[in-house]
Order: sequence, then structure tokens, then C-alpha cells
Amino acid sequence: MAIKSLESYLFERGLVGSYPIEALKNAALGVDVNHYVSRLLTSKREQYLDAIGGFPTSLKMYLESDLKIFKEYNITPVFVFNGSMVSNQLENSDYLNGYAAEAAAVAMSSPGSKASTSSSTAMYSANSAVSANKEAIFIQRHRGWTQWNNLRSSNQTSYIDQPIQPQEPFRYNTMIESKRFYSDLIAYFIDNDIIYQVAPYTSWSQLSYLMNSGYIDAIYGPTDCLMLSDVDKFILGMEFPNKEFRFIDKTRILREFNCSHEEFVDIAMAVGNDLQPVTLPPLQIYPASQVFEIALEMVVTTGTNFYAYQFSNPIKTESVEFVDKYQKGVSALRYMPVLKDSGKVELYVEAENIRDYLETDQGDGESHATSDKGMASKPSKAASLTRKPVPSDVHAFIAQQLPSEYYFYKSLGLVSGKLFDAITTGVYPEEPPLVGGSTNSYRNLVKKSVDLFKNKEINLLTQPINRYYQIKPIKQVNWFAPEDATVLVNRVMPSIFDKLNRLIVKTDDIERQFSMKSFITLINNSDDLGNDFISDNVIFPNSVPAEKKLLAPFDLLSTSFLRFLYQLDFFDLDLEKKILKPTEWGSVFLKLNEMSVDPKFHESILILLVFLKLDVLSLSQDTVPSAQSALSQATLRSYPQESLYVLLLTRLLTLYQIEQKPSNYHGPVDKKTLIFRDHLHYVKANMNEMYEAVIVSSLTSGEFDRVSLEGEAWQKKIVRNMPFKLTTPNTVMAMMWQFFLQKYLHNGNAKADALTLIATEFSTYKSTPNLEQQFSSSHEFLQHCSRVLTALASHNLIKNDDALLFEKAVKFSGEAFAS
Amino acid sequence: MKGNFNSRRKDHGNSANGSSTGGSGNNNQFAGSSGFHESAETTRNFNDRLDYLLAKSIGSEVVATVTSAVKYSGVLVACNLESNNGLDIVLKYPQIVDGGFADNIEELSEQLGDTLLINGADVGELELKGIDFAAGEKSEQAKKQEIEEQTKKPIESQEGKANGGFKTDVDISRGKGEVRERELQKWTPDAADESLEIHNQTLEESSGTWDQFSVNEKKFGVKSTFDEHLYTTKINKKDPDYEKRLKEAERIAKEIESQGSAGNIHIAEDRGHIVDDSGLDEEDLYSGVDRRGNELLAALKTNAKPSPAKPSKYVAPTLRDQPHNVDPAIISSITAKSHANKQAPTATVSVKEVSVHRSATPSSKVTHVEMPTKPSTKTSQRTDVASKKHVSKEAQIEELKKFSQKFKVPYDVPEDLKGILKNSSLKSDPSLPPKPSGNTGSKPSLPGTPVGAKPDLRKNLSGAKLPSQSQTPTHSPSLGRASVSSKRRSTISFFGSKAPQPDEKKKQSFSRNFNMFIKAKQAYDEKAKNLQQQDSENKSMEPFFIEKPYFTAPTWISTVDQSYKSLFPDERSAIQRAQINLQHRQMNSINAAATAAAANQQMGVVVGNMVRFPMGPGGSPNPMMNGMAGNMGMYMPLQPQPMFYPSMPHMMSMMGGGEEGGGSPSPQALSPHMPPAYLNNAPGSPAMGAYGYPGMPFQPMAGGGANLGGGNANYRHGYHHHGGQGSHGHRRNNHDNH
Repeated sequence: MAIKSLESYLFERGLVGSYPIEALKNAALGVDVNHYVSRLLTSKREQYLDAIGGFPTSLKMYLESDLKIFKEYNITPVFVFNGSMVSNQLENSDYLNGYAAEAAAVAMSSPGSKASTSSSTAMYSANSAVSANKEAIFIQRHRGWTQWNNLRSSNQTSYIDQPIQPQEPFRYNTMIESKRFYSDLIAYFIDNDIIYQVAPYTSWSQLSYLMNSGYIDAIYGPTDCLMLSDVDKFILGMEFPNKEFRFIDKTRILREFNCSHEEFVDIAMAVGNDLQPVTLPPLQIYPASQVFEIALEMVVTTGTNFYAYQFSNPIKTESVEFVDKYQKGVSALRYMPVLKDSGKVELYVEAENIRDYLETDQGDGESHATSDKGMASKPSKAASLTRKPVPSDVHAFIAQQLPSEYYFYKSLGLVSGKLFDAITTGVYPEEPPLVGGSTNSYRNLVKKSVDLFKNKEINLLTQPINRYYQIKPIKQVNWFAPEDATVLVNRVMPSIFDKLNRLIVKTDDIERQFSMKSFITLINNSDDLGNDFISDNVIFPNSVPAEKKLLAPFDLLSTSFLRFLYQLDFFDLDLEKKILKPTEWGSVFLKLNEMSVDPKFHESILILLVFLKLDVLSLSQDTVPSAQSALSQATLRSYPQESLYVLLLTRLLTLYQIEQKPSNYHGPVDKKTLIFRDHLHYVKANMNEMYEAVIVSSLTSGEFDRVSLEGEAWQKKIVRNMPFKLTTPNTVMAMMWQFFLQKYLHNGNAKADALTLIATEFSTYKSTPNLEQQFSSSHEFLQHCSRVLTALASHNLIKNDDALLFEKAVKFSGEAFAS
Repeated sequence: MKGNFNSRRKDHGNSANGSSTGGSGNNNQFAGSSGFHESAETTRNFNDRLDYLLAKSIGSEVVATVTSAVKYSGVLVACNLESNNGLDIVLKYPQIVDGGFADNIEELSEQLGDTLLINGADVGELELKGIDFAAGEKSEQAKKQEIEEQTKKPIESQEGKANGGFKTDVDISRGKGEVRERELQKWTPDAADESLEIHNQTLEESSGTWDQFSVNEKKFGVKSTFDEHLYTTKINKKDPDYEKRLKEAERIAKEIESQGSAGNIHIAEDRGHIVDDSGLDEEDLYSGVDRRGNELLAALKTNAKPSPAKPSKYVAPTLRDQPHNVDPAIISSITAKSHANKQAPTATVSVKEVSVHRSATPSSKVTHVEMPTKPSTKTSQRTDVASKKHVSKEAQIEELKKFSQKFKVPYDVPEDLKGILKNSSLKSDPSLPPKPSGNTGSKPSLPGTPVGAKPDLRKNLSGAKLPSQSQTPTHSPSLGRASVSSKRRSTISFFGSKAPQPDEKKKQSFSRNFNMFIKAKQAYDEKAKNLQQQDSENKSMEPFFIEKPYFTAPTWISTVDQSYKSLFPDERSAIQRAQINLQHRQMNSINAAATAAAANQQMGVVVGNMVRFPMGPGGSPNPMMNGMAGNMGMYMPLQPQPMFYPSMPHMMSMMGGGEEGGGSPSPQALSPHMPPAYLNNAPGSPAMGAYGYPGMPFQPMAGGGANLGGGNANYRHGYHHHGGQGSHGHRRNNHDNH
């Protein structure tokens, strides 16, 4: 998030320069991913993304064309992702409350609510921008679905088999939450040999470090870069069609604004920026689009200092709060942790020769001989002449420090960082999913995740690091009941890692690539699991010779995967007796190869297994509260059995990602299917975190030869091969089948008509040219699922009826498609 | 406060402001403001005026008051308007006029040297004395007269010199209206001259032979030698191949002569062809440029646009002033001549005229000034075949021409670019006429003269890309100006001198660095190596281990044992600091206001039609400022009120009233969300009162209470000056004018 209202103001005053892209020839260009994505996916694009889920396919298209231009001019892009939030951002985004306020705002925004309550939210949102964005996202989704429901009911009589197109977009005027696609982007960057980094905290500070250490030549970032004292010029926007870019020259801006750098930072802190998102008084009362202009006017005409202004607030509590926010914002700017080229994360303290705001302040403070503070400021002033003092409580305005090793894994994208944030902040927030997560089954899932996932993860991650974290209370805060937080158990005896660390897969095959298929093969090839995979000794101590440690990436990933499955009760382990054997669930999973399930579906099926194992909702069961089906009343009434089939099929098809060409999706939506997708998505996210925790615990303990890999090898051989990283598929394929079958039922079982309907409704001519092939491929997936379900039923893991029903459903769909 | 911002952006609503302030009982002090709004144009005008004033005052005696109230008088040598910090001035031969509050005047005056530089921040007031505005006026008029006189007889006046004192040419020529011509007298040789024997002798009349060589030898002892072969190739007739070569030469000569003269009279005549020259005059035969190629273009033109075809005939220089001659090059050269005081055109100019002429196109319209087009010889060969095509093409050409006439690049071409253009792009296109330079280029620009626009256009075409808005045919508004100006930088300069070089190892460097394990290993290896070098026996270094994450504390490494909060000023010093800041800002504003006010007043005298207030005596600045505030009404009274005016309730209420009457387009500015607590300080004044720092002593800056209103208004005034300077990018530096 940039400095509020500054960007438009800069353009208004014509202070944005422009150059042909050619000027960047041969340069290394640091790109702030957050800023960049928000430029690509403007509010007009991907407006239905939140209604279907998944990765915005058009993003890839824009990215590809931009990269082509970079290549043309031999520009090396370096993409830097945003890392954790600093204290101000955490507070402001309502992270600590599990985004409960935003979720609550949705309820208030619904038609029946009273104006009085909404005014309080308006006050709230006036105070905060990140949360306002989040809130706006939630509200827009909610409104989109409400609108869609209304549309459905008004068209109830006329709707038979022609799906209704939604009228209301599910996203507009909001910044897209790019965090959700970070792993997909990272995967894309790895595949295309593009340099990327995940910053420990603020991406643009990291970019500033990279530039000043000569790794990049220019920054493409938000207006916040203007607050950096050591960045003179940066690129604000790229106009690739014109082959131009827009840049900002700081010296010029300050000259035109007639204010100093310190004054500019003061204004930025008051109007709200990335590091201090709240608009401070007296600026809150002005329209958001003008705050910067007004603040600047105040400074230029009356020499207003907004920091001093905060003291004049007659409400003492507010005054204290705002002064605090201001101080945190400025301090975060001054002492921002960055990943340095030494591989360590250290504070990036501004260059010492800059005579800045703080120092001059102290000079004044002394000359005015302030009684009590005079003592404190004297030594620090002396220090400032040599180097800016680093205060002892950086953790108060940034966050607590984690070991550099953790940040390194984060910088690779090996971990998403959510768990790390939970450790440093003490809060694991659960925010509402795409459709709000109001179903009992989803909330059950959230509750169950504590025992099955979070406790173990926290334990795995806090065990190797400072003892402080091992006793630090960390809680899971749910958006639906923020006050009723669940305290996570980070201390178990013996620790999870102690239970795991003798489970070792060691092949020493450096070249072997990890996949679930090869893992299953490996396990199945073993005659004695206990003998082969339970090591007599632990291998993490430094005394263990290097060759006994894990050397191959495959071994690291497989070991972690085995431990991960054990954590999910897919295996039973008895270290004493050296027995390792799969549980019922595990044995079904190990049979995937036998059942000739396509390897590309392994991950999806494993997610399905875990979901079924969690047992919050059976496949044929309706959610509570129930959501309206996308099928017409006519269908539901005339073909009840087939409708049930369709329900089953669509649910499982949410695990199937249709091959789409990049396009902005505009087509039918289906809430019921999306709700089910939310469930699977949640399971997948947790599995991902669990796997991350297991692999990080293994790495930090020293089981793997970490020196053997360079950065690129880490990315290619490990990060890229980790499972569960990519976004859960969208609901497009599920909906295609749904409407195909509905049309098929109503239209005298004519397949051609039904396919034509799909082709027009989904505009597949541009997004999915090979529609038939996608249908047959997804049907294959359904058949594989059916086999797995049958196997599960035979192990009494699910009800036999469910498996039978699904088998029939697959048969029905096969007939429809084959006809 | 709102009113101010709105007014800056939009002009409407000001009259409402004005009337409401008038109505608020604050008499007519501000009522006049309704007439003015500070559009960019206005601000710029005032900036220009201040520039003008200062330019005029350079060299005259001024009195500067610095912030310590010491007054210095001296000759104003230079001033810097670019400073953000008021007006830096340089005084020559400074003297202390008034000691002000300083008690060590002796000391001060001793320290004074020949030159005194006063920082803009220190200039409290600048009094300009005895500025001769008429001087400029005179020269202006003189120029005008000059131009008028050019059509009449040139008048020479030497009388002026007799009056003593230094006189410029202008003074001299203008000084006396009547010019007495002496009667011209025929020269008759004196008696002594008769010895020269040239009496009554002209060349024709001369008798006898004249051998210059012999005379030269006789008179000066110079013996002339002459050898033809110094000047030409000697033909060796004894060469064995001579015959052969002669034949070859003859063959070539025949070949050349056998070629048609293609209607070229000169060639025909050179070759001894007989040409019917009955319809041609000498001009056509020997001097004029063959321009029949243009008949074609003219014919095409008649097709495209009905207008009488014009004879493509060379026009004698004497007739070039006639309106039918519209060749741009000629027009420009003529005007150049007329502006250059009727100096005889130099040889270079006439040469250039001819060359321009060759490619220039006569146009159909009288006032039309056209871009020279390509020589049309090529076209002529194709016309018959594809005349239809040409019609549409011609229309396009016409359009382009029109565009080129209107097109003006809204900024000056930077000096360095001019050089580049001259050297590269102009030369690269031979179809372009050579750019008339020298005295032609330096004349005041004519409307649409291609001379000025041409290189700019070229530049844009040859540059990588022309941003769309800079193509706007009209001058872009001053707001856009800034953005345009930044576009003219050349492509390299984004990175300055150190443009990035291709570096294939970037990826590697990212891969190697930022990896804590490899880096730690490297550091370890280095250390081990050092250790080995130091003491080869002692190899007891520990084996390499990666540091356990366990050792990292949850807090960050700090250098001082303090909270970040203690690095910020506490409440008191923060407010003190803010106050100093305010004073600083205010001081600058007042300084600027004072000078600006002076400028405006003086301008009022000169321009007369601009301001409606009666001209007051240019006395001390304070009454003047009051006068400005009362009469000028130039600036909006409702501006964000500086925070420290608790002693001015009437101002408050006025501001408040103004705010409400300001018709602010965004009423949510006064939204109900505003914490009511902020209103406690000044009930009744919606927003303004809310911003006071409680308990702040007000320190008057601009004189007594009676002056406060005026001071404040002027202070706003000054602000706008600053703003104008900033946003319009006026570069002012009076050093140049000196």
C-alpha cells in the first residue's frame, strides 16, 4: 500500500517523468511484486476471480508479455515479494483479531442492518486502509453473492437449463490480495529462470538495500520509496504497450513540493503509508483522495509538524495511540530488517551521514534543555555522529526476530511464512474463506486443524529456535469468534521432532526428482519398512559424519514427506520395536500406483483423503446452512437422483484444474461448489504448512547438507518440488460438468447441444479451445477418484453407499459424455 | 482551508468566498478579492512581474533589512529567485543604514567588505529605490520606431552626443525627432592632388597602355613570374600515349555533349547549343533557379485545393516584401533583415537564401507559411502515371504541413540538444533546407516559422518515442509543462553517466549471495586460510558448523540501550520545534510577500491596467503591505490559518465564515466524523480553530496588531508566490539580466 493519495497527486501536478523502456537496457530491475501485481490486476480485471477461486490466469498473460519486453531490452527483472507485516500493519489489518472486524462488517453491510452500526464501521474504516481493503473485499464478495441469489430467485421460473450469468462483479475498486498467489508466482519464476526473493518484511526496503548494494540498478515500486532517504529515483509504473515507463525523481518532487525530506516523511506518516497505514488527525476528515495535498498545504503554509500535532489531541488516549503509531512508522522506516547478501537478515539502518529528523530533534531538544529527556538524548546524539543508534526495542515496532535461517527459507519461498508470523506475533489468524465460511463443517475443520496441524507445526518450528518461543503463548484466532481464541500448544514432551527424527529416507540419489509416485514406489518396494526407513541413530548432530546425513534433495523431500504422512496418521510408528507400517488410510494412499491413478492426480487425491479423514462433511452430505444449488429447480425436482450425482461430481471436480488459456473469467458462478472448494482449500493450506514445518525442522536441525546447494538449486530442486504449494483449482471444470449434465438431462440426452451450451456460456473458444479433451481428461480424474473411494469403502473408511453412489455418478457422467 | 485548496484547482467559488468575507463585517479590506483568482496564468504573471522588477532594480541602490532589523544599503548586484528560501541577494558597497537591534554596529560595519551576500532566509525586507522603469520602456519604443522607420529614410542623428553623458544608440537615434541633413557637396580635388594624374580619368577614358606588371616592378621592385602550370595540370604532349589519351578525352567530351541539356539553358549554352531565349530575361538565363519541378506540385495543389497556380518564377529581392511571396525562408530572412537594423545582408545569408529556395515550395495562400517539402523532381517522373495516388498523398502532405505550421514544441530546445541536432539529424536528411542560422536565427520568432519548430520536430522523430501529449499543437498548460519537460531528457540520462552494462552473472550473484550457508562456509574458509598462514602448525580450528538458530534472540541487535520512543522528541520539544519551523516558513513567506508586493505595486504603475488601486508613494514597506492587503484584493483571504493566532478572534470568525461560504465541492470535509473534541478550542469556527496547539504563545512576526490582517494576507500572497514558482517551474535568475 502506497502513501495515500500521493500517486494521483503526483500525476496531477505532472511530477511523474517518463522515459522509453530502452533507457533501462541491460539494467537489473528490482520489481516490487505487490506493487507490480496491483498494476497488472487493476480493479477492472479478474472481477469474478473471487467467485471461482484459483489463480488469476490473466496474470500469467500479462507477466509473460512483460517479461518478453524485459528480454528484448536485456533487462534482468528481480522480483521481490513482500514478507511479514510490521507491528503497525499487523495492528491495522486486524490480523491480531483474525480479521473479525472485517468479517463483521460484512454482516453490517447486508441490507437489513441498521445505519448506526455501519457508521461505526465507517469510522473504523476511515482509520485504516489495509483493513479497509480487506473489508471492501469481503463486502464485495458478499454483495456479489447476495445479488446473484436475488437474480436466481427472480429468474427461478424461467431458469431450466440455461445458467444465469451474474451481474455483480465480486471484486472492484479493491487491490487484489496478491499473497494468495505468491507460491504460484514463485513456481512460475523458478520455471522461467527469473530471479526472485521474498523479503523478510517490506519489499521496497529490501529493494532499496539491493539497489544500494549494487545488485539492481533501478526500483519499480510504490510511492513509499519516496520515504527512503537513499533512493533518488524509482519507477512507478510501466506502460508496456507504449514501451515507456514512468519514474519519480525525489529531488525534483521535494523541490516542487517545497519541503524537505524530513517534512515529506512527516506528511507520509500522517496521511498513511505502507508502514503506518492510519490517517492521523487532522487529516482524517478530508476526502481520502486529497489527504496528501491537504497535508502538504498545511506544511508549506504553516510549517505544520504532524508529529507535534498529535500531542495537541485533547483526547489523551487517542493522542497516545497516534503518537505511538507515528513513532512506530518512522522507526520501522529507519530500522527495517532486510536480507543482506551475507544471507543474514539484519536491520538496514540508513546511511550515517544523513542528518535526519531525529538527530536535529535531539539537537533542538538539548539546546532547549529539556529537563528529563536531556539526559537520554545526550549520549545518543554523540552516537549519531558516528552511526545512528539502534534502539533496544526494535521488536516493538517491527516484530520479534527469527533466526536468519528461517528468513532464508522464507526468501526462497520454501515456506509461506504464515507460521513464522504466528510465532513472532503470537497469533495465527483464521480469516474467512472466499464464501465466508459460515458453514458448520468449515468451522469444524478450523477447529480440528488445531490438533491435527497447528500444534504440531508450532512445536516443530519453535523447537529449534530460542527457548523464548517455546514458551511463548501462540493462539489461533478465528474470525467468527475472535474473543474465543484457541491457545496452541507449543510444548509437548517429547517434542514432535524427537518422535520423527529417526524416520529417514536415504537413497543418496542426487539426481532423483521427488514426486508422490516415486515416493509410493519407494515405500512399496521395501520389504521391511521399519528396517529401511527407521534409522538406529539420529543424524542431525554435528558429530554425525557428513555422508550419513541427507545429501540428495530427493531424500530431504521424501524424508519430510514420510514424516508428514506419519503426522497425519497415515503411518504407525513404533521406534522401540522398529516397526513402521501404514494405517488403513496410508495403505489406500500407497495403493494409488496399483490403482493406476495418474501421478498428476496424486496430490489432489491425498488432499481428498485427508479431508475425508477429518470427517467434517461426507461427500453426499449437504452443508449446514445449505447453499442454493446452481442447478435449476426444474432439474432438482425432475431429476433428484441425477442432481445428487451432479453434486458429488462437482465436489470432486473442484480438485481438477482445467487447462485454461489466460483470460479474464466472465461466466457462470456457483456458490455451492465454491463452498466445498473452500473446504478442500483449507485442508490443502494446512497440509502445506505441515509439510513446510516438517521440512524446516529437518533442515534447521542439520539433517541435510545445506552447504551443497546454491540459491538457484534450492529453488529448483527443493522449492519447486514441494507438494501442496500451488493454489487449489478453480471451480470452472466443476461448473462445466454441472451445466453440461443439466442441459444433457433436459435436452433429450443430446451431448452436442450440451457441449455447445458450455462453449457459449463459458466462452471457451478463447479460454479452453480443447474443451472435449478437458472433459475426457477430467472424467478420467473422476474415474480415478471413484476407484480410490471404492478402496476407501473397502477399508471401511467411508460409507459404502457413498462410494457406490459416486461410482454411479461417474458412470452417469461417462454415459452422458460418451453419447 | 477548503476554500483555498479548491480555489487553487478550480477558479469557481471564489466570488462566493469574496462576498462572504465581505459580509462577515470585515469591511472592504478583502472585498476586492472577488475579482481575482489565482489561476496559473495569474501566478505566472506575478512571477514575471517580480522578475521584471528585480531585473530593473539590478544596479540600483537598495535597502535590505535582515531579520535582526539591521538595514543595509548598497547596490543590488544580483539576486537568486530560485531559492526556496526567499530571495538571496548580493549587495555591492554595503553600508549599514540602521542598526536595528544589533548593539555592535561598529563591529558589523567594520566587517563589511565590498560585497555582501545575504541569504534569502535572512532577508526581511528589500526596498528598491529609484528604479527606472522608463528605461526599458524607452528601448521598447525605440525598437518600434526603428521598425517603422525602416520603410522610411534612414535617419541619422548625431546630435545626441553633444549633450554629453553616455548615450546608447537607441537614445541617439530617438533623441531628436528632426534630423538635419547636410547638403551634399561634390568632391573636387585640391591643387596638390592633381599630381596624381587621375584627373578626369575613368577606366573608359583612359588612354595609353597600362602594364601592371611593369608598373609594379618599377614602383616597388616586384618582379612577377607567371607559370600556368602552377594552376593547372601540365599536359605532357611528349608522352607516348598522348595520342591515345587525347582520343579518349575527346570521346568522353563527345559523350557528355551528346547528352541532352535537359532544358537547362546554362548547359545548353555551355555546349554551344542554340537555344531559343526569346521569352527569357537575363534573370532566367543566368541567375534564376530552375524551378519548373514545382509546376508539378502546384498543379497537384490545384487538384487538391482549388487555388490559382502561381508562376514559379524567381522573385527579385526587391519584390520579396510583396505579400505574394510566401517562401518561409525568404520571409524569415527578410524579417531578419528588417530587425537587424537594415544592415546589408551578408554574403552568407544570401547564399543560404538561394539554397533554401531551391527546395522551397511556393504556396497558394498569402499568409501561409509552409514547411519546405522535398524537391519534387522525383515526383515529376511519376505524376502522369499515378496522379490519382498523388491527390490523396497530397492531401496527406497538406495535412502534415498544416500540422507542422501549428506545431510548436512547448519548450525551448536545450542547448546541448541543438548541437546534437545540428550535427546528426539535420545532416542525415538532405531534403531539409539548411537551417538559417546567424542573424536569421536570432531574430524574434515569427508565428509558425518552421525555423524554430523544425529541429524540434526532427528531434522528436529521431528520438525513441514522442509522448502523445507533447504533440499537442497548442502550448500545453503550465501544469502539463512540468511533465513534458521531464520527457525531453535523453534516454541515457535515467541512470546518469553510469548506464548499466550487460551482466550475465546477475543470476549467479543472486544465487551465490543471499545464501547464509554458502556465505558462512566462505567466511569460515577464509578464516581457516588466514589461520593457516599465520600459524601453519596450529590447525586446531573447529570444524565448520552452521550456527544453530537457537542462538538467535527474539530481539534485534541494538547499539543503544534505549527505547525507540526516546529517539523521538518529547511533546515539548516537538512542539517547540514545530513552532520554529512555522516561524521559519512564515519568515520566508513574508519576505517573499514583501518583495512581491513591491513588485506588484511598481507593476501597477507601469502596466496601469492591471490593478485598480491608486498608486501610493513607494515608501516604507509596511504601509505598502497594508495598502496591498486593502486594495489589491489579489489573494484569497481564506487560507489555512496558521496555528498560532489565538489573539485574533475576528480573523478566526472570518476564516470560518469564508470556509462555509466557500462553496466547497466536497462537503464531507466537514463530515460529522470529525472528532468533536477538536472543536473545543475555538467553538464556532468549524475547522480552523481545531488546529491550534493548545497553550502556544503567539509570537508576532509581521508587526503590530493593526498590521496583522494585512500581514497575514500578504503572507498568503507570498505563499502563492512560492507555489507559483514551484509549480510552474519558472527559472529565474537575475544574474543573467545583469
